[in-house]
Amino acid sequence: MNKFQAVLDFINTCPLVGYNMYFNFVDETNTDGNTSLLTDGYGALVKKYVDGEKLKKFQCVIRQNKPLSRYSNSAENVEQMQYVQEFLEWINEQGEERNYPDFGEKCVIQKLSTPEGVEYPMLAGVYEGTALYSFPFEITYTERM
Amino acid sequence: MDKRTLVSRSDRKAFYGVADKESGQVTYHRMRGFTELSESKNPKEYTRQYVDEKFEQTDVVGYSPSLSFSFDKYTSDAVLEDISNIIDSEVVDAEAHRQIIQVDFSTEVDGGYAAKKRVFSIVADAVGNGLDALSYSGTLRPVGGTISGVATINTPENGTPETVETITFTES
Repeated sequence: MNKFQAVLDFINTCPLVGYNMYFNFVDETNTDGNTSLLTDGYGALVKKYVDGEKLKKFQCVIRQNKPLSRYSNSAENVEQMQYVQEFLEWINEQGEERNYPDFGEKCVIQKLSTPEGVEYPMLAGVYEGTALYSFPFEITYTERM
Repeated sequence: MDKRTLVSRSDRKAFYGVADKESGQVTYHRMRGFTELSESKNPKEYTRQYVDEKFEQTDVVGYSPSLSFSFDKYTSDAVLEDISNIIDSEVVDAEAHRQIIQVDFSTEVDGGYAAKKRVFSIVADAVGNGLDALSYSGTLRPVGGTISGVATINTPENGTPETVETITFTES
């Protein structure tokens, strides 16, 4: 089972994805509300059980391009940040409802959420007319040999 | 000559006898979710020095083995539900005895794998020692001797040592 495709298909079900969805690519100049799904690191082995089964984490980052206002006291930037915040909350809601991507027969997903302590997106970059927002999320799953 | 290969810890798997509540038939399920299942042999030694000798000599005259265990609780797991019920309900005496079979999947014998069955008493130690998962820990102490035999994979059909769920044990 291709876990990358599974996560991409899953994220594409979010109504807040926007116009374009990219995998491991960020178009920093585009202001049309692109979403990028980026793999983050090598994946983490949380623990190994005595019988060979493993508890692992699949770690990703969501990045979204949003229009940027350069005017002071602009409500638009706050509004755009809130859209990304809703995307983050959508991820956590799917986890609470146990609505997970399909990692195949050998894997059972245990948890889907943003990492502990991550409650808001961060501003990852500012370009002419565009703000890039970002937040990580992780999928904890058991995998048989 | 066969190639010399390292035997990994996961090549030796333990299976726990769970009795069906209605029929009483025992099925040996793979013990999954265990972060520790280590055995201490605790040998009993008889050491003496004879008057005509300058050295001590030692014989092993017995063993007092025990299996330390620790597991993360998962749902829909007959083994973990049974053990956690024994611990949570503070079950005592023979009701806390269970059969456990250790199968060495690196050793093939007689159409199956080398296995040893023994009855253990489940001695609880701690519950909830961690924030990530509900964990249980304790010690398994033997109630009787070891019975050697052959284990064959029962489920899944055409199962392998990696995918094995339940086994059948035949005494040698």
